[in-house]
Amino acid sequence: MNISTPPPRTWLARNASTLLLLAPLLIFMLGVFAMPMVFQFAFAFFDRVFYKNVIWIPKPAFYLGNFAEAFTNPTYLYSIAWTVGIAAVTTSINILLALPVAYFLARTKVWGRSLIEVSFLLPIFGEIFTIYALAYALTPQGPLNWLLLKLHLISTPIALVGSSWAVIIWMSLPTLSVLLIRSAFSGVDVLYEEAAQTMGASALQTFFKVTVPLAKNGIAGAFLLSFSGGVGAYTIPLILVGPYNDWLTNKIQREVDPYFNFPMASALGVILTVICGILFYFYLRTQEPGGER
Amino acid sequence: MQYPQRVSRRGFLRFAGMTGGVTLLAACVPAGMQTPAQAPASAAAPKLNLSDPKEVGKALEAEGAEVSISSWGWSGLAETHFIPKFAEHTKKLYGVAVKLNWVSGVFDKALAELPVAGKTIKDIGLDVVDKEEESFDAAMALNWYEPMDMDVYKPLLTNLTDVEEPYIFKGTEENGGVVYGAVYQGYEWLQAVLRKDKLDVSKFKDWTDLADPDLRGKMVDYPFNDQRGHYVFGGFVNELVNKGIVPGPLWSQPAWEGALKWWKDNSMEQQIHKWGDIGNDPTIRLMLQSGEVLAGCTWGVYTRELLGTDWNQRDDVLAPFYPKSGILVDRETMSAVRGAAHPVAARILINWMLSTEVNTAGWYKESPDAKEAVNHWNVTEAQFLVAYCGGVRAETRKLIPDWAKAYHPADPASLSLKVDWPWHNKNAEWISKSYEKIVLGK
Amino acid sequence: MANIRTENLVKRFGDFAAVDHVNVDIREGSFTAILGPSGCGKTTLLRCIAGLIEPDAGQILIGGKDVTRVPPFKRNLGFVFQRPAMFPHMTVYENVAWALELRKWPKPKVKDRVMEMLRLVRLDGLEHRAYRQLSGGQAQRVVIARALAPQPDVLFLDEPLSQLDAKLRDELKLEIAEIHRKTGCTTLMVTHDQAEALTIADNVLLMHQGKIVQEGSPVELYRYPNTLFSADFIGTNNFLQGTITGINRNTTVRLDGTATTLSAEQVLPGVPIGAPVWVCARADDIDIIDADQQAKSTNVVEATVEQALLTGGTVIVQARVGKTELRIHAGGSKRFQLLGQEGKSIFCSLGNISLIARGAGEGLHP
Repeated sequence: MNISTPPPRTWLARNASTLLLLAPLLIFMLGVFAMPMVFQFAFAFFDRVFYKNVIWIPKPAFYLGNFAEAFTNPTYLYSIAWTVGIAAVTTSINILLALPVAYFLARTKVWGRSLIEVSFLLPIFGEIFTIYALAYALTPQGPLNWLLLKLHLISTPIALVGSSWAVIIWMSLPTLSVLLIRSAFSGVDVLYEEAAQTMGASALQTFFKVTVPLAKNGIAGAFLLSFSGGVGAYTIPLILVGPYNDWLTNKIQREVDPYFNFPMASALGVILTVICGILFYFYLRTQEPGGER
Repeated sequence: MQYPQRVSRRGFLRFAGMTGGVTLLAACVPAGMQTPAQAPASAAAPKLNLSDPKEVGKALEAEGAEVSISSWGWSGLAETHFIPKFAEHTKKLYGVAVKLNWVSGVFDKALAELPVAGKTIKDIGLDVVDKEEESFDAAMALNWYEPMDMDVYKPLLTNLTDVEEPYIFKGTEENGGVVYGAVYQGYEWLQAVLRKDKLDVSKFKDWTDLADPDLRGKMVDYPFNDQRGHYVFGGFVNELVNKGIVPGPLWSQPAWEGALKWWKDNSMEQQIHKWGDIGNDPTIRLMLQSGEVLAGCTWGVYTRELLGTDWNQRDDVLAPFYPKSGILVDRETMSAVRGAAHPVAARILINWMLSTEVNTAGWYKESPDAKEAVNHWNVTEAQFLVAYCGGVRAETRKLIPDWAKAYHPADPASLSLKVDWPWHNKNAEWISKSYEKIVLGK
Repeated sequence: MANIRTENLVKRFGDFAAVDHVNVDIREGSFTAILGPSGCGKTTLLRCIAGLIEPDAGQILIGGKDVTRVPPFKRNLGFVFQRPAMFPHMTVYENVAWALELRKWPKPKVKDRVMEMLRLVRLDGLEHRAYRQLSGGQAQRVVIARALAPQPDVLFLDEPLSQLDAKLRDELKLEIAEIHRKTGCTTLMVTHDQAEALTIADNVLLMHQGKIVQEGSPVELYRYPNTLFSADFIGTNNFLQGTITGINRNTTVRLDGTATTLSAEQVLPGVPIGAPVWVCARADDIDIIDADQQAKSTNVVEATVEQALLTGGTVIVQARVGKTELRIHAGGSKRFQLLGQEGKSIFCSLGNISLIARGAGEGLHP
């Protein structure tokens, strides 16, 4: 008697229902994120022509001049280094400041804990309003200078608006990272901390040798998110520093208007995207506990 | 699928590689495209008798009783008044209420992206384009417009015939028409507004007077990496060329370079309190209102809007500044789109926009001798001042309310300096970068 | 290696006293089990002594030093929790070496000690494994090795076997005993499983409702429980009501409601003749004898069989003496003869009985 086994189901057959459920989201992501990114990548390689001596038009081509310009022109190089550098520094400070706050929120049963957590999000709920408010608060006649003068910490008002310090201070303040790191710490079993304590580790040693390494996935995720936001900061430098700042994001806007150089704008955007992509790669490395190579 | 899925390093690298490959391929494909697609030349003009209102009504219905225009915001007048009023107007004249679609903010993007995609402006559904004249040459080079006054459409353009000569842009004749652009604002330039209660306004006669020490740290201007900043600065360049301080002609690099040196040598940077838009930015408007800022360079339309605000009407502290050597104009110009889906409605809309009623936002005298102007549309003074800019038809100028006459220069045409748009488009980047090099020392 | 003493230790949670004026004196080098039902406060007591919980009143002395207010990381201890607290982001080697590296031991010394500890728990060869690659039992062994590596004064174990399956439990139980024998480290273990406590500990503290009810060696606790609770908690005990009729080197007791007298090899200090007592006879210790062996056996009573159930290795006999139920675990090859004997009369030799003063809550150390 011939007993035949049914052929193994294809990948599609096995996963069809999952794909169907995901379809709306996939289509949305494809249309709203993936396709524009593909176009942006393509644009970055375009050249431009002064069409009929009237207007600059992007010319489809495989032209590396935009990237060459970006990496050889000292202004652009400095801007890339500045943008990425500021993002890295402020994100690091951001995470460091968030660590004790998040740990406190994770370990203590304080009344209204969720409320406190969510209140950290308030500044970025309507970030543009907060930035405008800051643009007033940090002026020489504003409340911050008033406070510093009253406390005799400074003798003349300092101009924070118009200088990069305002941006650095603002981006260093922990907001979303507190929430993300708090949930990472909540996921670290208290048992490990008790074990460390019984083995002779003080509270600080326990925190840095046990709690933080065990929460590193969440902390890395918070770092990645904050860094991506920092690298893409556009309105913050524009409003707090002014139109002449060193941020690459504002320079990209200028490539569009008044330079009419869309391909260059795309190329600079691609550079920022790739930098974030590199960081994402390193983030993935921290997520694997010595797994696949 | 197995859950949870982990993205391994190898998987991520594979994915990144694939994406990069696909996009590079995508970049190569359009390399096959060369010049931007030309819009097909108009077929022979349609056979219609548009002198008969009934025929017009039928034609409108055949088109779909709809028309789309790309324009600017008109400070909100578009939504509140234009759309319903246009429907009223067409219903009254032709028995068909035409739906007006008001689109803002797409034209600049369209100009950058449509040629690459091989499309023209008609492909995004526009019938009329209302845009500052800076884009006119470019759109013409791309053959996006057709003459609005082709013989078949002439009966609809009753207001076009008495638009003054400087406000008409002509081109190659086609089907009996030559008008490709019609300005409906008399002038739209970048000038300045001053606090007359805190400054001695008689000191300010020309652009270079803005270097006055009274304005130290009290001025707002568009930055030099903004086209509007260039147009403001063009006034300075023109004055300096006229006075022989910098070499001419106006639209040449030596002139602008010299003027930038002047800007630096006369410490103009120290005049600036904040770079920005005193017309559009409410926080900067507040600075003008509070006196933190005493002068601002901005569009004429916003200057007049500021003059008409309730606080200025109450305190009367602002004065417009018309530098005597001339102001660069960038006037709103209407054009008919080649290959549009609703050509008849388009001409009716253009004609309506040229009318006294629209130019004055419904606030005008019934006849030149009438005592009072009637506010048909019930608009505020600020809204009126936004809509009315000097009038391109002599008739309109005679019918505006008396109080508004004070806000306009006696002879705007004599102050208007036309911009060499192609030169500017080519040199915009150079101007911005020269500023950073010469003035900021970067 | 150090001794442990507490004086009047108190820990309250709200109004409830989990540890209620507890005095403990543990000899150095001993293996002490804290035994009791759930909720009796044994884990709280253990954690207080280790320093993970701060007591409300009283003193804790380890090795003669007052450590009541000293944080746990300054006391030299090792702790094994109920769930394996092996650091998942480190290998076995790194786990065991952790405490040593914290104390900045030189590398070769660390390596020697780690390998020594791994040999002790029979995990040598697995030092490069990670937590995911170990079974529950192996992980616990790593934790034991890790706790013992820095030579602590005391090793604390909080129900270390309760999460493991039965076979592993038995294996690891004996290994723990072996480790204690080899290292001689003072060990304090909390458990609710009497078999564990009796098998491997040399000293047992029986706790009930926040207090220590009885303290002694496993044999003492088993044979001479001094309270009803102790007698009832450990093993299966039968309680018969009796009255003391004579005290000499032994105590003679007459069973209430019968003429039977029994003899106990125990004297309750301070309890006079005529006082009521409980007579305790362990179900495992009762032998069922033939009628003609009565004279040769001790403490024989006559009972009526009510039920006889086979469990395999034993037959559980429910019998009645007067008004009292008697439960007997009958073993031996003759047990099958008891099946189906309902209603029959049998003779039971109660063997070595123990006495508990009736009406009293506390016993005295024998």
